[in-house]
Amino acid sequence: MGFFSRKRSNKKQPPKLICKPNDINSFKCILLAAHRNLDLDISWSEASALDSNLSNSLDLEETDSLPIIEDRNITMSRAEALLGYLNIKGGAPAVHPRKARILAQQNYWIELLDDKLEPLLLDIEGNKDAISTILAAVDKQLSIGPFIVSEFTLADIHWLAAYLVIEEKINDCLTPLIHFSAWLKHMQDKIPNYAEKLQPHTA
Amino acid sequence: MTDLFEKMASQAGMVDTSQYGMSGDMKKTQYILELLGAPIDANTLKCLLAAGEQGMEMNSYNTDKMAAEEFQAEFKKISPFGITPCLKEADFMVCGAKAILAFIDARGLGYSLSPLNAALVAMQNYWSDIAVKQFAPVAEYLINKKVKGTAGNDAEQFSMLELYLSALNDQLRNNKYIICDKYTWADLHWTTYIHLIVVAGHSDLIDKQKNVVAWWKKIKTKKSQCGQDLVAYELLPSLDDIRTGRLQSVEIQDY
Repeated sequence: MGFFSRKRSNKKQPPKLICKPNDINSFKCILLAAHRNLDLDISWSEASALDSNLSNSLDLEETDSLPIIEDRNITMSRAEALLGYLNIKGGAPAVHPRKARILAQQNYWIELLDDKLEPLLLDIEGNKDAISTILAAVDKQLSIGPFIVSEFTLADIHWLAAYLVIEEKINDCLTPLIHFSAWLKHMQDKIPNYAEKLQPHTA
Repeated sequence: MTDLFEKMASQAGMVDTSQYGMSGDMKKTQYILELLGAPIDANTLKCLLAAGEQGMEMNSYNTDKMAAEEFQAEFKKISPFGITPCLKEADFMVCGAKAILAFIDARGLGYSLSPLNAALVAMQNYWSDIAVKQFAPVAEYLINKKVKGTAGNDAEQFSMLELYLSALNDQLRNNKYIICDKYTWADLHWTTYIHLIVVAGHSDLIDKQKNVVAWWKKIKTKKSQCGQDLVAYELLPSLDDIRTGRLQSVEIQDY
């Protein structure tokens, strides 16, 4: 069975979400599911226990496959796939701006995190200035309104996941950020008790 | 204030502000979009395809044509972190393929390229992610080598390429398109990278994969899904276009 496969099953159980501790992508999935009130059976692992035929064939590391969702007859990996799934699954409204411009802005801030900030986190000490510059831009953006763009979007979920993973490691960078604390309070309204759900698994 | 888009429009001889749809006027049901990108850049090509699929008129400007120093200073004002390509619609600007593709999808005349079913969305995103994170570096290596003479380990790249194409071939075994019988974002992402590989002179590698060949034939002739008389694939640049820095604009004739 590969990382995107189906098998027959009639049992009704909550989807299993297998996460990696202290992992931004795992945190994104948990936060989105929490916001959308999805019932998930969350477990934590350092490496996937699944058969990894597809992973091997595509020359991926086994740990790259986490987080993973197993939902009845479907098994899936890769955060982009899981987030798409979790944002539609269930009856709660999806986190999806109706206005094209807000949708575009949401994705800009997600791309800034995924493509610009995350690579820098591999060497926090060496990239302190660059990390600080990006965080300052987010802080400046947060001075405009309660959320990263003009309404609560996936950008907030992505950045909250990143913030919770890197908070301890980049204290120096966070010191001058003045709008994050207000934003965190708004996040508490949107995702009640988020810190409790993730705290045991942050560094 | 003259922004970089206006400078590029001027350089490309496209500054006719009386043109319907420019500077905030509406053309039929939409503004004319403006795109800053490069013909060798896969993300720019994705924007062209999306505009074609969704029937969005778009003037495209090749950033390679602007003197580097002048461009950098102006570009930093639009995209402080160097995210490309960039899009302008009247008074709105945004940068990055993720942002632009979502914008065009939401604004466009056709139905969304994303399926509604959760499992299909997940599968679409999975295959898109494989294309963007795993397949893209191989395609970019080959086109850069062809156009700019960039050096590297060919054997390693060809071996990777065969792995991914073989996986795609398996995925296409039972579907018309990559995810299902409808064209989705996964098809759009893979189209740009496979096009760059073909343009770089390696279509023989595609020809080895029977299902990929059948899919590729469909992609090259598929009419725009919003109903316009347009084949989005034809907007993509040839090798000569890439070498001479020619980037097509998207023009819709049949409203």
